[in-house]
Amino acid sequence: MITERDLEVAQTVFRRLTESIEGVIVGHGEIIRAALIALLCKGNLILEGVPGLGKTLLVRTLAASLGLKFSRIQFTPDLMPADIVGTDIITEESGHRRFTFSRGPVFANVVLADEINRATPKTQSALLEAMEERTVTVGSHTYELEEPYIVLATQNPIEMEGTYPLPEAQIDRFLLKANVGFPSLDELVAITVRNTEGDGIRLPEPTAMAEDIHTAREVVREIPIAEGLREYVARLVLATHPSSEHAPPRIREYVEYGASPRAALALIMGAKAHAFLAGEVNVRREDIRALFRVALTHRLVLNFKGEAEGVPVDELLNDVWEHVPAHA
Amino acid sequence: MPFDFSRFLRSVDSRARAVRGLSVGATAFAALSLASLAGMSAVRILRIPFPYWALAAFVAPPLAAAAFGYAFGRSRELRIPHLLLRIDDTLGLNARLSSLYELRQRGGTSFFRRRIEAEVRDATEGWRAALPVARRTLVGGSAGALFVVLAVGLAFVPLPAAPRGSPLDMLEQSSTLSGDPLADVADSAAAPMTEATAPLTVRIGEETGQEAGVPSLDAPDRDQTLEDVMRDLAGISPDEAVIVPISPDEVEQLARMQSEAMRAITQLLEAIRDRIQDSEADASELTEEELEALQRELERSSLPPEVQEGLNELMNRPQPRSVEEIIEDLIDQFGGDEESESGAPGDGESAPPGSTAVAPNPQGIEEFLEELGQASSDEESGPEGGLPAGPEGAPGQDSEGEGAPSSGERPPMIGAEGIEVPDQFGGSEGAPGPSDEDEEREAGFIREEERTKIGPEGDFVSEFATEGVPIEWVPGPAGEEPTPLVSYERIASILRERGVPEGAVEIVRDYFNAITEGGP
Repeated sequence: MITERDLEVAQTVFRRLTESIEGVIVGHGEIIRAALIALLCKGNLILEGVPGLGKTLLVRTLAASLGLKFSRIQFTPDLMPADIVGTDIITEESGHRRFTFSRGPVFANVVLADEINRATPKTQSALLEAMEERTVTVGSHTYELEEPYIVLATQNPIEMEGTYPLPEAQIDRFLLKANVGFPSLDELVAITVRNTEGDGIRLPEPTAMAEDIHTAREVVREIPIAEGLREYVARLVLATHPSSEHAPPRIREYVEYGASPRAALALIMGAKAHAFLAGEVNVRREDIRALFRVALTHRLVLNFKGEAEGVPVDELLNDVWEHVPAHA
Repeated sequence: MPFDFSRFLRSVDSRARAVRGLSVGATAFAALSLASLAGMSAVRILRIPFPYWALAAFVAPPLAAAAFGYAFGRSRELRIPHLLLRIDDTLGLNARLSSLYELRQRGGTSFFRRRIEAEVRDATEGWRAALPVARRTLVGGSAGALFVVLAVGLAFVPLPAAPRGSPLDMLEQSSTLSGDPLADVADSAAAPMTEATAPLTVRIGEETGQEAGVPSLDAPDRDQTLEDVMRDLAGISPDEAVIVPISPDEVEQLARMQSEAMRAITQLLEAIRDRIQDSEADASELTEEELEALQRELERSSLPPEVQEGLNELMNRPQPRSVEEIIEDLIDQFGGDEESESGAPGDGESAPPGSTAVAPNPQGIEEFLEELGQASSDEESGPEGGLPAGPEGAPGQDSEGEGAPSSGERPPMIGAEGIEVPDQFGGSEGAPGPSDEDEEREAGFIREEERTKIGPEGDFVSEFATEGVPIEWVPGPAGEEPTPLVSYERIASILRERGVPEGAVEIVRDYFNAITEGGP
């Protein structure tokens, strides 16, 4: 049973956590918020951006702030699934040989899958079970992953040669997708200052424990959302489908497949987490607005025409947002 | 004071129902009002008669629809969460009311609920602004009211003349008749009694054409074309005719009275003649009692003008004719009338089937319809139709006197005694011309000149006589041509049975007066 005290404590913890991360990462407030939302919603986050923008630093800072176990996997084309999930190795103990499971980097609380699109789909799919089921199956044995668990993946959008774009089934398992943009002038100056003076970057001390995250997750699930807003979310998701009556013209023209029902779940849960982080006790329309793009942008599959013309998905989502009425 | 969310929900529910009821009611009101306006327009355009109390049929349905729509709109289930979200957005409450409703539906008393109630407690002022009466509702209600007012007003607005159609249109309309006059008459008789379809007769002696704005018969417009006439006809409605309906019983009673009067006069004259023949030579004068009896008969009965004239001559003892001669002439004249009434004028063999009794008929209107049917059947055998067949072998003659034997197929218009018919009856001696006196409409027969045309073969081409109109041929004085008589009442009755407005009759008469003046 969640109490008002739990709510206040959880909101205080995450406020401190946010401040802690922002103390290391310059700018990228939305990215930080998206990462926390994914954490609160038991989701995973994919970060897309060119190298050098601080994606890895962000993840490491988050893990450090949470006091959780962090692991980093650098995805390369020759990376094998066993390199991620682990494998059985023969060990000799007291004169007896036996197979012992050696856990891979996926067994952590915060997993950074760096440049995930550089690995083969086979290796990429090794993360599927961990991301969705929070379990890892090796041979005939299934291992539970420790909560809180979150996969934060990054991918480079410009070096596409020799990459393997994530299949739709896998990318749909990421709760949110955030585009890491280039910092502004002031932010860039601040970055230089932090990295070139004094002791340089120092990861923060943990400000939240696993228990705090569990409590916060429960609080987030209890945050009410109005039925009208639920229907609004459903209409938004349906409007991304070209065959839907709610779809705007450009969606019909450029989209092959719209967002899945998982997108609606992500949007509602993300809105709840967003409201929680904002200190609210109920989901507002602006919470949905804040989560709309990050929850749906990776779930739209453009058709050939859309790909050929390079139609930005964000523009299509803008159309959807403008097209769908707020009230039924 | 805690926020009474339940009460707030009741208020929201009540207002939302009222607003939706108004919306549905206004829509229904507008729709049915428009239908009522259309219906009233149709009624007025088609000139369908209706009593003023029938206005309720145009006003009540929209009002009933508005009431039903309001009740229906109120009764339908509301989606409170959506209403609350609308209020939230209007008041800037960030979906708190709708979230509070969500928590209320979950049950329990979570701290979320308390927090939200505390936040919305003072923020719900003016929530009614979120559920306004839609502009569409106001427009619909106003439009509905306007339509109803227009519909009611339209009922009282006198209509202009009916839209004028082309002669072709009129022909198309007339083509809806079956072609069988008797059937058409029967159909019209079987139709519901309305001002337009009820069998009508003209009250004797009543003016019609002038009051209806029909061109005067005395001043025909010679320049008018047939198209003008057709246009005038199209502009006439049955409402414009000054017509007074009388029942068939009244017609029958009138006919019976005329018959009895004729019979009484005849018996009186025969009694006087017998007394004179049986008495001495100096007793040829009328006695006081006989004069009084004749005077009473004259005052009591409505007799044909020629009969009245004869009786006056008898009572005034004109010179040089003797009383006996006058009585003989009158009895002969009455005898001829009676024979005509019985359908066997003259020698009986040459009596045209269709030219039978115009005079009072004891069988009343039913017998008249039978005659009409007989005339119709005769028309089918005659190419020119409309006029009764004449006696077999009756010679026809054109204006130049060229003989042209009338076959049985030609419309004879020939006297019962085979006397040739002049082409211009108006000039016939003893037959009154088209003077104003002829326009007098009295009880009994009216002697009217019938203008005709003579065809190239001497055949008779009817101009005036309507199909089925019985024409009576009354022999003129010795050696003179017979005079055709038609009953104005019967012609008018037939036209009315066919739904021809009185004004239209006058216009047609006027037209043919104009184009035939001076003879063919």
